[in-house]
Amino acid sequence: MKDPVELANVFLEHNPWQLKSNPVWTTTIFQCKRNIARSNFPAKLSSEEMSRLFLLLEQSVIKFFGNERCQVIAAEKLSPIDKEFFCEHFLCREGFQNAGVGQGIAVDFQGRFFAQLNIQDHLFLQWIDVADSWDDTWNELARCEESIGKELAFAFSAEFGFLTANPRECGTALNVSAYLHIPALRYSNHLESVLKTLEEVEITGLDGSKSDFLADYMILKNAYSLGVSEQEILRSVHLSATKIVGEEKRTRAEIQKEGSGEMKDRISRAYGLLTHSYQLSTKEALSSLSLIKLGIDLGWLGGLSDQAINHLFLLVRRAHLLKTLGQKDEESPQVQHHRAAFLHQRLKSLQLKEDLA
Amino acid sequence: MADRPEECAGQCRRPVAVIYKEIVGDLVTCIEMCSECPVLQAKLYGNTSLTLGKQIVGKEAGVCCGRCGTTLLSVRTGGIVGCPECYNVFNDILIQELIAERKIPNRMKKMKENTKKQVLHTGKTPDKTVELSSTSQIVSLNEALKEALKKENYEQAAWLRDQIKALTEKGHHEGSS
Repeated sequence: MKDPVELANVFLEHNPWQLKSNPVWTTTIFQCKRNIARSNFPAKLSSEEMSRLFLLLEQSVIKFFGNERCQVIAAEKLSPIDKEFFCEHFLCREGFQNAGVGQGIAVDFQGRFFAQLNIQDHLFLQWIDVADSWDDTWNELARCEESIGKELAFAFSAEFGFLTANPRECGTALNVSAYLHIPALRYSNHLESVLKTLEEVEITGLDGSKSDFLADYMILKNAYSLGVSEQEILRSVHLSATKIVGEEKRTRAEIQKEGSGEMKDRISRAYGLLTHSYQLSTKEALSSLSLIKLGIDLGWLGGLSDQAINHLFLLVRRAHLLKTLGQKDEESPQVQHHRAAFLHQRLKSLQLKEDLA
Repeated sequence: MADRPEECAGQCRRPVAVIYKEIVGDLVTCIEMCSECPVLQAKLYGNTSLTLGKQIVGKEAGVCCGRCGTTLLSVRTGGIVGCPECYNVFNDILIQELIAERKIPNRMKKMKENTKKQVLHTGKTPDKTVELSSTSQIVSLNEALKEALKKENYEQAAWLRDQIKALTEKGHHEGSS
C-alpha cells in the first residue's frame, strides 16, 4: 500500500500523455457511471451507510484488479492538494474536493484507470487510452464494469437504462471524450466550418467553456447517453475526432508550406514567454506550451519531443507543480514564480530552428 | 454575472438560457433564467409578479419519492435524484425534462412520440457485454475516407488509408495469435 504522497510521485514520473504518438489526438477518456440497485444514491445516504457501501465497492474494485495493480484511497486520507492533484492528473471535470467519510478514489499504478467511489454516483469508472488503442481501452472498461456488476447488481430500468444520480447521464451512462489539440484550425479560422459537419457530439474546452478553447484543446464528447447504444457513441466520437484530426493535419501542412509569418511570430513569442518570464499563470503557461507543441510538430522547434511537452501540460498545473517541487500549498504569486522557474529549467534544451531564427 | 430569481436560487441547476434585464426608473435588475423558468413565464405572459414561482413551490412541495424523499420541485429544477425508485415515481416528468433539454436524439424523440411503448434506452443491459474489435474503428475510418475523397482531399484520404491499413494488420495479427 502506498500513501497518497508516494502515489503522486509514481504519477509524476510517468503519465499516459507521454505515451501518445499522435500530436493532434492526445488522449481519449472512457467514463461510465453505475449505482447499486438496492441502495440510495450517495446524496441520500447517511455516513454510516456510505461507509458500509464504500467497503463493498472497494472489495469489488480490488477483486477485479488485484492489490498489486490498484489501490483504493479513502477521501479522508487525502489532503486538499492531493485531491487537486488526482483531479488534474486524471483530467476530472467534476471535482471531489468536498469528499469525506465513506467516499474515495481508486487508481491503478500505471495511471490508466481511475474511479470515484460514492461521490455523486456509487461508481464513476474511467479509463485513459494511452497508446492509440481505442478498442483495447474500451474493452478494459467493459470488462471492469461487467466484473463489478456481477458482484453488485447495478440499478437499471428498461426505459432509462443504467440509473444515475443526474438523470441527464442515465442510459448507457457512458461518456467518451477525445482530447484534440487544434491550434492550426483555431488560428486559421477554419474551425467553425469543420464543427458544422459533426453529428451527435458536443464540444468544450479544457475548462468546460463551450466557446473558449484553453491551450487550443478541444474536448469532443458524445452529446447523448440515452437513446443511443454504446457502439453508436463510440462510432460518432471516433468518426468526428478522425475528421478533426484530418482537418487539423491538413491545415498544419498548409501553414508549414506557406511558412506563415504570423504563426512563426506566435510560436516565437510563446518561446520567449516560457523561457524568460518571472511569473507565469497556468493559463499563460498552457497557451504558450500549446504553441510550442505546434512548433515542434511543424519542425520549427527542436530539442524536445512532443511527448515531453504533453508531460509538461500536466506538470505546470498547480497541484502537480507543488508536488514536483515538494512545496506545500502556497499563495498564487509564489506558485506563478515557481512555474516560470520550473519551465526555464525544463525547456533548456528547446531550440528555435532556422525557420524561426 | 447576474443572479438567479429568488425562487430558484440554490435550487435550479439548469443551464442559463435567458438574461432578463428590467429597468424601472433608476433601478436596473438583471436575472439569469433557464428556458423553463416559471418566473420568466410570469414576466412574459403577465402572471402577477413572482407569485407564480411561489405557487409552484407550494403545489409541488408535497410530491416526493417515498423511498428517498426527493421532491418533484427538485427534479423540475434540474436537480439530481436520490435513488433508483425516483425514476419510477417521476417517470413521465423525467422524460419531459430530458426531451426539453435535448438530452435524447431527435430520432428517438420522434419514435417516443409515435409509440408510447418505445423505451428510451437502446444500449447494453447488465447481463450483456459490448466488446469492440478493430473492425469498428475501421468502419468509422472508412466513412471518413469516403467523405475525404468526396471533397477531393487526397492528403487526408492517404492518411486515413494508412490508418485503416495499420488497423487491418493489427486485426490479422490478433486473429492469428
